[in-house]
Amino acid sequence: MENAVHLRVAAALELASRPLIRVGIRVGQVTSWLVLAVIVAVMLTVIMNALGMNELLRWETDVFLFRDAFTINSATELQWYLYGIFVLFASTYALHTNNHVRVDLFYQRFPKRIQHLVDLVGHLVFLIPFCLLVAYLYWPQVEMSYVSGEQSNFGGLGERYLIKGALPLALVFLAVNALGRIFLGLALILDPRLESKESEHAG
Amino acid sequence: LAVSAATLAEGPRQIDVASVFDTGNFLGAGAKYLGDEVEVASGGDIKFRVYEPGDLVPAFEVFNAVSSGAVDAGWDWMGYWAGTIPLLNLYGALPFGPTPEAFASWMWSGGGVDYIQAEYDDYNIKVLPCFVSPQETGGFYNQEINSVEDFDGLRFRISGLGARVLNKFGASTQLIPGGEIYLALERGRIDAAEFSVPQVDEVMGFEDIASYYYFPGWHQSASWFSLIMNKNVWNQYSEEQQAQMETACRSTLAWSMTSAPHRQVQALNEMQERSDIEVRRFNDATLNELKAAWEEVVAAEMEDNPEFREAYESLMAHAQLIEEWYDLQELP
Amino acid sequence: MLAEYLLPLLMVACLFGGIFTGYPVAFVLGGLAIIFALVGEVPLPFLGMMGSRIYGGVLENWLYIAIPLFVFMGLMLEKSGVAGRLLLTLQRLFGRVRGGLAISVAILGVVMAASTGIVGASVVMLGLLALPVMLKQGYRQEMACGVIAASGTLGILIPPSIMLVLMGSIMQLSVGDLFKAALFPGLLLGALYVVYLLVMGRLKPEWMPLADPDAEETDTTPLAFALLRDLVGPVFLMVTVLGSIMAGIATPTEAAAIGAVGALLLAVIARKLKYATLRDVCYDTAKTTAMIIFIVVTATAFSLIFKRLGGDYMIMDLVDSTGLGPYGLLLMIMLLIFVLGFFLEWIEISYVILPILLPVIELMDFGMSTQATLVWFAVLMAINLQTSFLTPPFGYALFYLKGITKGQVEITTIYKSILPYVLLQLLGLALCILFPALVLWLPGLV
Ligand code: NA
Ligand code: NA
Repeated sequence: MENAVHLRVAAALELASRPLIRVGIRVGQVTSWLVLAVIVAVMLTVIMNALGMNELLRWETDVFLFRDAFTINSATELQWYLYGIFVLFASTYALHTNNHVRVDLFYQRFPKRIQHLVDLVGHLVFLIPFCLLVAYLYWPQVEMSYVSGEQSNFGGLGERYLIKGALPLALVFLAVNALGRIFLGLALILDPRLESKESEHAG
Repeated sequence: LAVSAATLAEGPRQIDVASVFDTGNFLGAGAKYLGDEVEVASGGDIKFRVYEPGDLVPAFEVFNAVSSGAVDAGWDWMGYWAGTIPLLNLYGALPFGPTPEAFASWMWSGGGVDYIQAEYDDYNIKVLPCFVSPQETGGFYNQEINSVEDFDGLRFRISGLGARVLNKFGASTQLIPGGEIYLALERGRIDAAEFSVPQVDEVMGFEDIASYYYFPGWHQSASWFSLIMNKNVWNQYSEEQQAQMETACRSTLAWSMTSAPHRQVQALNEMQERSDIEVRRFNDATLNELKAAWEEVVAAEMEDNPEFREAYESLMAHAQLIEEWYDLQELP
Repeated sequence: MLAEYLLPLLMVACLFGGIFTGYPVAFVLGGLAIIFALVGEVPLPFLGMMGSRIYGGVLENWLYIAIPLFVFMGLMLEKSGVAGRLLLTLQRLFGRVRGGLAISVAILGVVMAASTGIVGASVVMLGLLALPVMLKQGYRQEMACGVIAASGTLGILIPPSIMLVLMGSIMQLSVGDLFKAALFPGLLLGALYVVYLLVMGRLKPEWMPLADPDAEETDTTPLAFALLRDLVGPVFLMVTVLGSIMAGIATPTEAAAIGAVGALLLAVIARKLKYATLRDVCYDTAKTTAMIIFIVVTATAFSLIFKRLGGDYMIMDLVDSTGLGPYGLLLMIMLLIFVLGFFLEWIEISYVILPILLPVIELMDFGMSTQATLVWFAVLMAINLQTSFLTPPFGYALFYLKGITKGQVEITTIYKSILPYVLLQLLGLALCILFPALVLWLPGLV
């Protein structure tokens, strides 16, 4: 019984899901701290504005992202670069911690197995196709931004492709993590005993 | 009676056009006008469906959407894409540039279109500059500007090359999202803001919250708006149909140049009736210093950007000829 | 009409079906966009716009930066215990008034509304601050959730409001006039909420109990001292946030960061700022923000495809096909917006409806100037759209609230909780229709 095929498959799936989920949560936790950086960037804008300052620093050679000066508009644009990365990777984190909103009228009355089935099918039919298709179709725009050297039109930041590229990157990351959830869901359907073990690992 | 293959080619009967301005205002209305003209010129074969900003794609994404073919066409202010094609600063907002008439002359008879089309080729876009707006205003201010020293520390919502001129005098030129300009100006988070021509500014309600409305708009003496079309779409049309669209485009240009100037003064009068806004002019000393600073900025820009230098020199030489002609014809 | 608009109708039906499976709402929206794009044979390049809409409309749109900042502020105040003490002391201040706590929430909602126009931010912040305290005090869940969701949406109506700015630009109306026009109706709705709470306090006292007498005894601090101790910090914070906007130090978005810094300072003063607290606040801010933003991200994809498949023509046909007089048409439009609000975002509704309706409304004769008619109509529509955040099953405010209850509150409870407020909204709307002066007096258009 212990060695029944479906149990071995469940164990393998669970094992395969672990690293995916761990990385998803870890990346989400690390990028969470960016909210503090967003606060600093906004406060910098407010303070520079209150002082009527346009430039904090100017230097000779063009550098990565900041070009040749740090102006009030650099601070303003930095806000949304940071916010963009923060929110994009947080969506994967929220996937693992089950923070995305459900209308759980019926869902919460379903047996666990059915709940896993709903999520599993949903990830396959809704989430993964959405992430992959949007990422795939947006990629040419990232390339175009890179090739054209797109930058701020207001003396702010350069390297627009960074924040544009973060979008498809984060969506693919989300899809891969959803795959991890599918593995785990399958494992739990095949071997409900893993459920108790699972709750210990809840992120 | 040879009918060439080109004239048989057929593009879509309806062109989706993503506008970067609401079609309710003068700037966005250009897209509708152009659409009507295209319909007339093509005998009803080609129609525009103009989408409001954000309806298909956010305004700032129109260029990319047209380039990638996601949308057939876009209606834009050319300056929006200067982050991608720096040369467009010249067409969008050129400080101390020629008048709309002289600029239009260079555009269609002095090679102006060719310079930008060469740049747009890299992005698979056909550009039709169809609309030029009158000189913009110098902006709404809550402080008097009596000399360039008054720009020191002034918090001003302004974009483009004009911002770089003001930076030389210590102004803090900034980005405020459209939805927050009103409150920012009302509460004093910024001291001044420039937006557009009076006819368009009128709707923003700035006259209620600002003390002074300054002229002239030295930072933007003419600004261009255009139809940009994905070349895969454009190339599907026969030469005849393409010519119909160009004709419609020039007719729209004529409309923009003839229907606007008197409206600005009417709008200005309406604003003054409704509010306590004071219409003022920058004094000559201020304008001269701004001009001197602009010459430094443009010299730097020409050094960094050979395409800009070529087009700018061509434009200014063309404008010079026009000026000489009018000088010659001047009556006492 | 049914056959012609099969796909958009089917799309709405699938949306409703999809969300009731219990699969996350955000992913249902995104998935349906893709599925229907394929079914409706939408060309691939067109689908490329989804990415542009997400980038340009959500990431590059820095009005949304206020969301994580206000969420951070709310979580910080909650985790440092500042929020809980504030509301309990407010409750003592209101003395024996039944529902005093709920009324404090409604008032806080109006105050928040004056500093932000982002519904997600206000609902989440109010929810984080007030919900645990209200439930701990024995409030019925329906009582607690309703007032939080409803007051949290007032921000989109009470100026500053991005919705009014957008409508002003579409309708060519002065933003200043619209701000003035929306102020009284916004306050009126807030007042209606308070009246309702007072009435319910009489009718169903057991639904909103007063503070536990035992708890009150343990807090033997004299009220005046407690007020000073618990109110000074948060009041200072609120004054700073609002004050920084009023004094022209910050834009509304920037004021959110000032609030976040203020909340950090209060936590430091309360000696509650440990590394673990800060870490948890950052983590929770990320998860909560993602919950809000990802719905916006996928909703933008959903509405793109809905329109592409003819959804907008379907709506236009509906408006065109009526042959009603001015008031009949007005009511029909209001009803239409109300129904669209069940499943579309306010931005989409504004763009679909306003351009078609503008010429119609300009010609309608309600016995006032065209300018006044347009301003009046815009505000009526704004109230209606604000209501759409609250209407089940697809009300964003309800989802945001659900998102932060961590499974404590069922969605049905939230649905039930909101019904009285939807009725109050309709009452407020009716009052503004019957008495246009409520809208037009302040901008001087009567
Ligand atoms: Na507001
Ligand atoms: Na709704």
